[in-house]
Order: sequence, then structure tokens, then C-alpha cells
Amino acid sequence: MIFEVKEGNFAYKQGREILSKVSFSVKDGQILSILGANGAGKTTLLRCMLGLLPWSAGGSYLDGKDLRKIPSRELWKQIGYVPQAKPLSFVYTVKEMVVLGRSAHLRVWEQPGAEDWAVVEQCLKRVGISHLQDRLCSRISGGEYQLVLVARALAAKPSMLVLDEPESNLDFKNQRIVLDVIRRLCEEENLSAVLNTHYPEHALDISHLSLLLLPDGTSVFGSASEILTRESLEKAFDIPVYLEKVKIGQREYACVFPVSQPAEEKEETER
Amino acid sequence: MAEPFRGKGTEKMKGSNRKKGLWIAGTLGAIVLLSIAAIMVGRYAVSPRELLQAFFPGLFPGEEVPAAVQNVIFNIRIPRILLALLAGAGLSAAGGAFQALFSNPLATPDTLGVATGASFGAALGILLGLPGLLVQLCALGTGLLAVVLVYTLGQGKTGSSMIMMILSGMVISALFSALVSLVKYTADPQDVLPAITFWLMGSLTGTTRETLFMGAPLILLGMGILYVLRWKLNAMSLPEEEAASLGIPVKRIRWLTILGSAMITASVVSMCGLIGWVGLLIPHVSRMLFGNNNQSVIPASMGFGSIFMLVIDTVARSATAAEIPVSILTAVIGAPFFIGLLRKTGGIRT
Repeated sequence: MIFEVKEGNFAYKQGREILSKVSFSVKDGQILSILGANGAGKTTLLRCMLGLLPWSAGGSYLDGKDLRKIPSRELWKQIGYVPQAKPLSFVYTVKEMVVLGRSAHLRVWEQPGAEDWAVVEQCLKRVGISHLQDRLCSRISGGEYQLVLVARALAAKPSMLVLDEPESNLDFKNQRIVLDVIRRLCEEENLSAVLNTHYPEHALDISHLSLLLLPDGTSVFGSASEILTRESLEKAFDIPVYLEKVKIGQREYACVFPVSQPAEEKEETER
Repeated sequence: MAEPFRGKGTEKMKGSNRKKGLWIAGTLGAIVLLSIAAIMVGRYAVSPRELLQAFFPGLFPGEEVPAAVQNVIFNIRIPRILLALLAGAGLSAAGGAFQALFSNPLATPDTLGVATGASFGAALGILLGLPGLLVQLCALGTGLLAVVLVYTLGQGKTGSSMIMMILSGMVISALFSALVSLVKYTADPQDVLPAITFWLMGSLTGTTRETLFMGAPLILLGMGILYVLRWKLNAMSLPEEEAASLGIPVKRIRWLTILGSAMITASVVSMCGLIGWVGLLIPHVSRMLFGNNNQSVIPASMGFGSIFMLVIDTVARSATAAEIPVSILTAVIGAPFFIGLLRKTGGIRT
């Protein structure tokens, strides 16, 4: 499956353009990470690309077909969306939560049956949380809950996952676990993934492709290692950046952090 | 690895299925037994022997059931008991559905102003001196009108948001309750005003076969809709965008749920006035016992709601010489019961 966004523009009714001519494409097995400063429109982009918010111009395409022309049940069988975890008024058990992912396969009057529960068991196993199936979603850790949401998205049997900041609000061990699950799904099961992240090092670590949103609404798209350079990150986040690659065992990791500007220097650059 | 997991899962499922079966059988059994008891209890007591005779005329040859007993059983008690069962089941299911739909544990069947709308229709009907069936029709009409108004007002420029819907529900509710006050203000304080006031406090007194035949189909249809949609309500309690991304047709299910609940509430209010508490209390009782999954909350609410209403109504008509308004009893009996359960189970699962 190929997912594409072509020249997507978005602006709220009155006001500046938030996204301007955003284009990218993702194929099976690829991971695309979207980076940008707070307010650059990362979440807006995810919502637009999924049709949850209408593009002002341009569009999203699934295997060349305009997303707006795909019936919603068909669409959500192919794309699994993992939202940011929000507190809920009514708490369900892990199993009850994950089976909701079967909704796109069931008609309005249908209830999940044995087949759906089998898919739930299998999805819980794929993300490694089978032992939690009867626990309440409020009685598990934030990292475990994030995996529940991933399992719920998998339950639709999609060929692409879209994740909104999957590793935010987690400690670094749980960030590692969530990222590894995403990478494993893409490598072993040939799923594609699009994710928002605040961490350039995570993007460099797991993604093949990257889209960097710049403050003026434009964006750059390409292979992660080419796009996420010191210069472009400095431009996107408007702060000096330190970037170094470290090799540990067989894998190369990136070490990225912003550097604080001394007061006088800051004034000079502003001038 | 696969085997032990599967084995454990199905074993657990079997256990929970057996437990579920016991609960269903127990609840249905309780409904039947309590209904039979309720036929016999009352200011005019019916003996078990008379009851058997009335139902099976050939059982005691040579003995004739007095016409008065026949009349009490078939024209007064049974319609009233059926209405109590239906009203309790319907209001509880509607409350449970609204709580999930608005993802708000404090929602009640009246959240969108249906009950207030219906009481205006009824008060107006009583003021105009209409016969019982027309009063009922009037109440039904204004109740459904209220929900249509709320639904139309709730459609903002960017589509309908739940907050807009709840706000317009409050506005419409306030409007109709002002209109009810207006009707009461103009009513004759000698006879019409007490009739309206008593009616507003809720009572199943006037139930006849005719009123039941007119109101019951709507309640049953509404309950049917909510029962069919019960699993979808789980997804509806998530944020709207999240539900949509699961492939749920959010708008259609929201509309159907509101329609089903409105049919129930308008119809119940049109037959027996305002009955508070049931729609809030019973769904929470179900949640405390079985968890938040609406697949069990909705049917359990129907079962417990009908038992609760039947007991309340039987007490209302037989405890004292004069009939006690139902709303007073639901609160007086309901509150301590609810608090007891809250202590015992530790509340709903959060």
C-alpha cells in the first residue's frame, strides 16, 4: 500500500496558513516521522491526512485513490490510528478496549464474536501484553496503556499505523519499548507507520523517512538521515542544536539536544 | 506459548459465562415472582387461590371468581405492573445510554430536556381538561418536540459537538420548565393545580390497558434500539475523533441513541409523570456489579430497573391509605440503597 499526501494546505477559516503545500509518500514497511516545533501543526497534519479535518487544498491518497472517496469503514480497515492517551470517564478492561478496534469490521447492529476475540488475543500477544488482558486500563502504567492503544489499532488489521506522539509522557525505558514495538511491526509484518514525535533522536533511530515542519508552514521531506541535520533542525526549532552519532554494538544512535544561548549572543542574533 | 494462553482464556470465559447465566436467570425469576406477588398485594388483597382461579378457570370446578377480583387483576393490577416494569427498564437503559454517549456519569434520561418537554405537554393537557389519552398524546408530542429542538440547536457551524448539545438541552429544559410554571400559575388552585402537581411527582395510578397499549410500543422500540447498539456505546464514550477513527459512524449512532432514549423517556413521562433517580441510579448499580462495559450495563439496567420500579410502585400503592408519589419513594428508598452498594463495592471502576 502506498499512502500519499499531495500539496496539502490547511488554514483555519480566518488566519494564517498552518500547513502549506505539504507532500510526502510512505510505502509498506517504511516508518515516517513528523517533526516540528510546538504549534507547527504536527497534530493538525495527522488529522488532515486521515480526513478527520478537511484539507483546504490538496489531498491524501491511498494507492492513488482520494481518501475522501473511500467509505469510512473501508478506510479504517486499512489505517489504524493511535491517538494520544486521554483520561476517560468510563474505564474499560484492556480486552474490552482492544476489541473496540474491531469496529470497522462490524456492522452497526453487530457485536464482537469469537473470531473478533481471537484477533484481540493475537494483537495483545503481538505487542507483548497478553498478561494484562483482564486488567482495568486505569490500573496499568502509561507505557502499558500506550501499547493497549497500539493493540487496539492493530485489531482492525490495518496495513498502516498512524501514531500521535506515541512516546510522549513516558519514561525512557517505556519510550524504548514502544518504539521497538513499532519498529518490529514494520520490519516483521511489513506495516507502514507515520508518527509524530518531539524527539529527533527517536526519528533518526527508527524511521526511514522524515518530514520536518518549518515555522512558516512549509516542510521538507526525504530520508530521515538527510533531512534531520543540524542545520535543518536549527531552522525548524530556531535554536542552536548539538548533534552527534554514537555507535553502540551494531546500531548507530543519534544524540541530539538544544544548546542554550548566552544572553548577549541572543540579542545579537535578534538584531 | 499459544496453548496455555488460549486454554486459560477460554476457561475463564466459561466461568464468566456461567456467572452471567445465573445472573440472567436470577433477574428474570425475580421479575416473575415479584410480579405475581405484586398482583396479590394491595388495598384489595387477592388470595393465591383466587389468583390461580382467575388465571386457570378450570382448576377448581364449581367455584366462580368474583367479577370484582377479575377486574382488579386484569384491568388494574396487571397493566400497572407491566407499566412499572417497562418504565423502570426503559428509564434505566436510557440513563445508561446517555451516560455513555455524553461520557458523563451524571447524565440522566432528562439531560436533553425530553422529560421537561413532556411534562409541559401533560400540564397543558390537564389545564385544558383533556381526557387521559389526549393528555398522554400531548405529553408525548412535546417531549419529542423538545429533543428535536435540542438536536437542531446543537448543530453548530462546525457540526454537532456534545457540549453544544448538552448546553442546548439545558436551555430547552429551562424553557419548558418555565412554561410548566406558567401553566401551574394559571391553573385553578382548587382542583386543576393539585392534579398537575400530583402528576408531576410521578404516579402510575391512572394506568389502563388503553394507556399501556399506546405507550408501550414506543418504550419497547426505544429499548430495542439501545439494546442493539449497546456495544457501540463503549466506543461512543471515547472522544469523538477517536471513535470515528475506529470506523464507527459516530453521527448515526449518536442520532439513533438519542432517538431511542427520547422515545422511552417521552413515553414514560406521558404515562406516569416525572420519575426521578431511576435513570441515574440503576445504571450505576449495574456498573458497580459488572464493570463499565455497556454490553452488560444496558441489559443489567433493564433487569434491575424493572425490579426496582415494580417494588417502588407496589410500596407506593399499598404502604399507606393514600398513594405516595413515586418520585418521593425512588429517592427515599433509592438513596440509602445506593449508598450501601457504594460502600460495599467501592463504587464504579475508575
